[in-house]
Amino acid sequence: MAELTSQRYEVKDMAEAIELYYAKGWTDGLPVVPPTENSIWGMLESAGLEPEAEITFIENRQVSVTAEKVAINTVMAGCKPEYMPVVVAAVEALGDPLFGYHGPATSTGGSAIFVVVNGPIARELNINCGDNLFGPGWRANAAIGRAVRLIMRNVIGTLPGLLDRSSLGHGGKYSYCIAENETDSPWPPLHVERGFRPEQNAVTIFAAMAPHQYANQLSATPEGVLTTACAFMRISAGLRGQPQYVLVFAGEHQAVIAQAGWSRDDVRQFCFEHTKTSHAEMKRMNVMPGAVQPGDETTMHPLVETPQDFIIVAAGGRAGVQSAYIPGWGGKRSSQSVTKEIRRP
Amino acid sequence: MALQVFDPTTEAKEQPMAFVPRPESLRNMRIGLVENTKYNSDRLLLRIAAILEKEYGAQSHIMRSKHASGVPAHKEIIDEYTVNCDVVIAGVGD
Repeated sequence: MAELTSQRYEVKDMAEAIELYYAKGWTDGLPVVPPTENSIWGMLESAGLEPEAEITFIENRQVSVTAEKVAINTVMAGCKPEYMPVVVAAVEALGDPLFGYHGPATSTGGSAIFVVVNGPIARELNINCGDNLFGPGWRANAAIGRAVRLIMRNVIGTLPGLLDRSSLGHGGKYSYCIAENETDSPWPPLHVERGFRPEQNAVTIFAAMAPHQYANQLSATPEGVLTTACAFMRISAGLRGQPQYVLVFAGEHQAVIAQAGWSRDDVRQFCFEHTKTSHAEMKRMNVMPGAVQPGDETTMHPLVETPQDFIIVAAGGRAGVQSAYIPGWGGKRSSQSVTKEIRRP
Repeated sequence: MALQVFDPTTEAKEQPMAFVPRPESLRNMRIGLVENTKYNSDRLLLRIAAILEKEYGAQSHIMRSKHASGVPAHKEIIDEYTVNCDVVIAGVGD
């Protein structure tokens, strides 16, 4: 039978264990759940993995991320064993070349790993897709997102101030995990749009800045709501690298869009057309170099490379007129969102 | 009751690394500049190349741009520099 090979430490009780993890620099600043032999095996068994199994390989760090290390950090984050397959899929995605780990993990730009869970598992695990979407109160959201960050820190060595050189960072770097509200959504689930079947479980990761909230309580049409969304997004056009953007539509805005029968493509096309910024405006904002030249007022810079670079998610409270956009980190050429299947034994 | 807890970090494994010997002089060397697409990185690299040519006798330079700052230099750059360059300057940050 396989054995755990990580170094073991003897402590007299849980309190001493918690302090040991602080002293070793193994936490995100909050106390962790000390991982024991039993709890680590619980995680591994839940995902059907042997300790030595490689979950992903981070090319630029030359780090092999093993199931044992994922399990240890997942315990520490406060996960239940049944969360482990979600964490494993997210970690698999971190190593995908399309995600391009090096940039978002190390950049001064300071992104977090935004995790969206789709499929029946999201409801089984009670991953919040409603009220207080990005806030505290749900163990699965808090612990799954936290596990991903702890793995980045402890296993891949992405330490703040060393390999992680974020100038500012944001709260999502503690945890940034939601589910999509597939029940109320006007659209097929996100993972279905990305090639999976509805009954499959999948996780999408995205190198993301903080959510930017906007409100529109005046419009009963998609054009009205999206006009507000686009006005708010345009001010972020200084992100010259054209990253992908996530658009999160909460309950009332979902209903407005559903009533009008707008597909995700309709939303994307509208947003693509209405988030362009003129070169003149970008120069006036000092996000493009040089003086305004003839023609700059009519030369337009699209916010994203293509309409498909708007990733649309239905989630958030049913009541309220708020939705959010989440700019991606850097540019699409450096990092793209990635979706992986969540596999259970 | 005593408790046994586990190390969550990756224990470093030793692996060999090979370095190309550094040239003793830059005289007659062909320089490859890896431009990382950030503002002014091209200007900075060209100034460095001018100094190396004027003051250190380097022969020439070429500059190619990566696809984006956060990704490694792509194969075409590496292939071209392998054939046409003796030293390479990279690593321009913000």
